[in-house]
Amino acid sequence: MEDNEIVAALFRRDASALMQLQDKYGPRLHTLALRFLKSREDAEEAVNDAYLRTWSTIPPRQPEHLFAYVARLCRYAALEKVDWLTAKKRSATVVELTEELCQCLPDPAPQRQAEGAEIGAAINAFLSTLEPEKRKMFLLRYWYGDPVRTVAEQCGVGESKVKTTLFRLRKDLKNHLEKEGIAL
Amino acid sequence: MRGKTLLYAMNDVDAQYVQQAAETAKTPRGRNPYIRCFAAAACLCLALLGMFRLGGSPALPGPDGPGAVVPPVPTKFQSPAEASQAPATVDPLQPLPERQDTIRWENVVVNESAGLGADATRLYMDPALYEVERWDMEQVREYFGWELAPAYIPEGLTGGGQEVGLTVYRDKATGELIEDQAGRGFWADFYADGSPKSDDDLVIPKGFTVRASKLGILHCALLPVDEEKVTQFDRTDVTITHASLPYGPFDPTQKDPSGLYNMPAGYYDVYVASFTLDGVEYEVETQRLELEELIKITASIISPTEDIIVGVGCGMP
Repeated sequence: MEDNEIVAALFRRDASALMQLQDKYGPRLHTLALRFLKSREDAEEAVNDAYLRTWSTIPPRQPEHLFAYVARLCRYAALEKVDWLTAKKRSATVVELTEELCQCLPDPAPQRQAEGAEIGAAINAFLSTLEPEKRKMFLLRYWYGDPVRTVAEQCGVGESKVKTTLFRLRKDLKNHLEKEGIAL
Repeated sequence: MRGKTLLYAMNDVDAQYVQQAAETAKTPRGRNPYIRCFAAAACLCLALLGMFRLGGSPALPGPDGPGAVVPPVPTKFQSPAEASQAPATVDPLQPLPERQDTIRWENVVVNESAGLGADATRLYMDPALYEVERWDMEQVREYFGWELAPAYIPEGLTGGGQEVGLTVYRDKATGELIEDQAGRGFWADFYADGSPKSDDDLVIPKGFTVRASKLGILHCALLPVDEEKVTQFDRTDVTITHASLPYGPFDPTQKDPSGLYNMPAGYYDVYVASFTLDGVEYEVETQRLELEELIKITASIISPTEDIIVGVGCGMP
């Protein structure tokens, strides 16, 4: 079933749309959730949460990119779960990605505190300036949480090239956020 | 946790970009049949060329000397059997595989060391005679031509967000630089002041440092025991040195094998690669990393655009 047919079924409140969604994107969503969560059970919960939110928000929303829409909900649910689990134990992937992204942080002194949406807009503006290949590397690593090896395979390049590119992109993002006057 | 804020803010990235990243996945490298065919053909050609040029003796060094780097061998995934079945031609419309360099273990020479030398670089600079200058990243880049961050950095190590800085000394009378040694560290963890921190139970931090100087590094790393032997990386002579150094706590009730010191809790590896490139003297010093990592870091400095494989290539054992 095509994405637009699934969306149409959701608009009809046809519960089979969720089954179609699961058949089509379930494994990828599960992999995404597992990048941030350690246990399969937690990942399963995050994916189910994403399905529930999809059911609750479509309609009225009518996403143009269905996978990106559900994946975003799944990522959000996974990170929420990480927060909940933080008191017990930190997610190794989140810690690793967080440390890498720390290199993008501008110096705090002259800037003001920014909110999530504003930062997201600044990141979007930064991504729009990148070549598609570099944007893909950045998103696979920091949006999907893929390991460097997987990013290299997905992009058809070596791991060292991925690391070098990400290193430069982090610095470029830092400069971009500084120019935008954003402090975190 | 500010990095976490950024990680979470990534959720607001445009759905179009997220979708594109997921949709445009390429065939994993090494599984593309065209790349495999090309690699197999290249491997076969190299093998045949080698047999003709080296008289069939694979143990002899190549015509370019005992180079450890053998470009180009894009054959990481090929077995001899696959290579023998390679077709004679490949689709010219397919993109060529990324260039890879294979570093042969048998050509890597490691000099054993007696241990760390004394730091002789920090001489007292009389302010009446010498002027001290603090250079920022831009000046370092202009002076050395890069930012001392290798293309290959082992997984888990970072620069800690610290930018490299350089303190240089200049002779007031002549205006000439007399000390220009810069260093940049990549470690598993850092203290708040930017100094390296161990990320496990051992107090010895895990990571590496790149040192550079145009005027010559006053070697403060490992002292060679015997005559230094070099390994060639893409025609650059590299001296690799190794030492096992003790770490504490030290047991005062027992002596180590030399009988001179208290028994350490264990030993860790330090490797140093020294070489000169484009008029700049470099030292890469690794701590608690494998030799393979030192080789990859060094090779990525000498040939930053290559994808380095440590092995023998062509699927040969």
